[in-house]
Amino acid sequence: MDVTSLPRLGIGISAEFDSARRGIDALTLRGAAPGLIDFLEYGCDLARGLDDHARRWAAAGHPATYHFLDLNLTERDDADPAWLEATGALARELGAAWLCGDGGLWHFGPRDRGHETLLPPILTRDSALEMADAIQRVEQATGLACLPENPPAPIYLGDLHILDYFALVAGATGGGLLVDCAHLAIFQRMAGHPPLTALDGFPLDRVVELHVAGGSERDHAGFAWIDDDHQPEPLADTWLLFEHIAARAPNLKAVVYECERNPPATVIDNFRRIRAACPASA
Amino acid sequence: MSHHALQRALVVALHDPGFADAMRADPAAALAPFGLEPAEAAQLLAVDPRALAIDRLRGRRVLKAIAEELKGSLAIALAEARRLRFADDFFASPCFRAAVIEDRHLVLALADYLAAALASGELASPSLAGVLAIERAQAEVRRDADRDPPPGLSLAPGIRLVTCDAASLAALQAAERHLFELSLLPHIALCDDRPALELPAVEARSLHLVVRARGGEVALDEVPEPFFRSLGALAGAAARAPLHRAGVADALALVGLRVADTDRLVGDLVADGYLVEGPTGAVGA
Repeated sequence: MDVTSLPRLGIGISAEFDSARRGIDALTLRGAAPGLIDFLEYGCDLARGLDDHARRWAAAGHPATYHFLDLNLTERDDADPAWLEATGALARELGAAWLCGDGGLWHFGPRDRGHETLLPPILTRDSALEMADAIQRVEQATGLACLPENPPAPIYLGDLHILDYFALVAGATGGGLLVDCAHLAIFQRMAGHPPLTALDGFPLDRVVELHVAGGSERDHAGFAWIDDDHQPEPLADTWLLFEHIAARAPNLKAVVYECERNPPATVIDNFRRIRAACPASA
Repeated sequence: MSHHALQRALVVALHDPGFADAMRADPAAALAPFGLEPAEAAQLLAVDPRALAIDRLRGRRVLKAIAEELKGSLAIALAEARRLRFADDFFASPCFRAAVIEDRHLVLALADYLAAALASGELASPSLAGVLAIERAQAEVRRDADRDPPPGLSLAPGIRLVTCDAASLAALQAAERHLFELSLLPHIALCDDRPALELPAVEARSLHLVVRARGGEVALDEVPEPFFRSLGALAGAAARAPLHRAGVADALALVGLRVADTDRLVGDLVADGYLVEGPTGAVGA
């Protein structure tokens, strides 16, 4: 799908099913701090569907995107006709400009209720091409662009750098990408690379959406790792990646700050920093 | 070379510390079921063992998702075992491993795990077999309702037949009530005087149930034994070979039933949604 034809959404906040009950209500925040957020990225699975928060946002006519949490993009056949039909309908009800989701495994074995066990893809050429097939299938069936996102993990297997993997995916689909800067910072750290490694060969013109989120450095029996816990403050590596890519991605349409579980006061300054760095918000 | 095979091996390694140890001790034996290329096996073996153990709640989250459909059975099993380790050991079982390798539903693998514990004598709660049969059938019909029926007459998709002791439904309800009570105050787990799971005594009488998925819900209907036996006979015959109307009388005779008008019986069973007639079902009618 042609990334240049996608609408420019600006700066968004993430939400998941029922997240507004205890976290940030995007409509309330939008009213309290005009100009802070432009759109909502709602994540869920078909078993749960839209919550009241998402319905209120859609009813207000504000822009949105739909982040699925129940499709294994690494498996060609996981996008079955029933999933495709129901997801397309849900996205239309939300008024989603496009679909997105971590390119990995949300479940193992057949899709079932409530798994949400996110694992990254095996970083090989075959896997990337299979993901590209799955994306094209989703796009053809729903009529919406489907942006694969690089997932987080303490373990990645395969012989490719994750940016080379998603470059292959984009090359095969001809479509767009979602780069989660926090997840990419995790990959670089776990691989022992500097934060900007492999970006020189990455097709930044395919980057439609960026994610920014907080993370925490942790230690397990002497093994250092990063917990993608979405606490308010992004790591320095995440900021570096975000600001580097945002300045160089000509088709960047949207940036999501994944912070919905935090108190609003702890995230406002970061929204402003994101907007200041992001030409998509102009 | 298949990235799916390596993915499956990683899934098992992430959920079963014993497997992770075994693959380091004897990689060829432990990884044989996955059919990995040497380079793939080497990648998995190069993973820092500590990285596999970072998320100590990974298995619990999987259990939370799948135990919802077997909550009565798991409650009865754990009330007898009195060890959380019994639940955790699901991930070390052949049932879990086979489900991952063969892309089977995990909830049915957990049902297999509980059934295996009953069969081996590890568990012996008198209520477990009946409750497990009901919950397993419910889990199966939820996943079966959209199946295309085979040629000929067969039990309709989304239907299972369950025979259990007459106290099984009451046992299931008692287990569900008990779990609800515990959920009101999770702190109960910290107390030695927490309420015990009290189950009704098993009854000698049998209960004959048709478990049926209808519009997203699952219904349990108790039916008379001859009717149940008829459905069982027809389902059994259809499972062996395509069953046509002309063969219905013989199938029923095998279980000691004589029906004067089998066409009318079949018509009624199809009309009521118990049977379906697949593409060639009319042949031989």
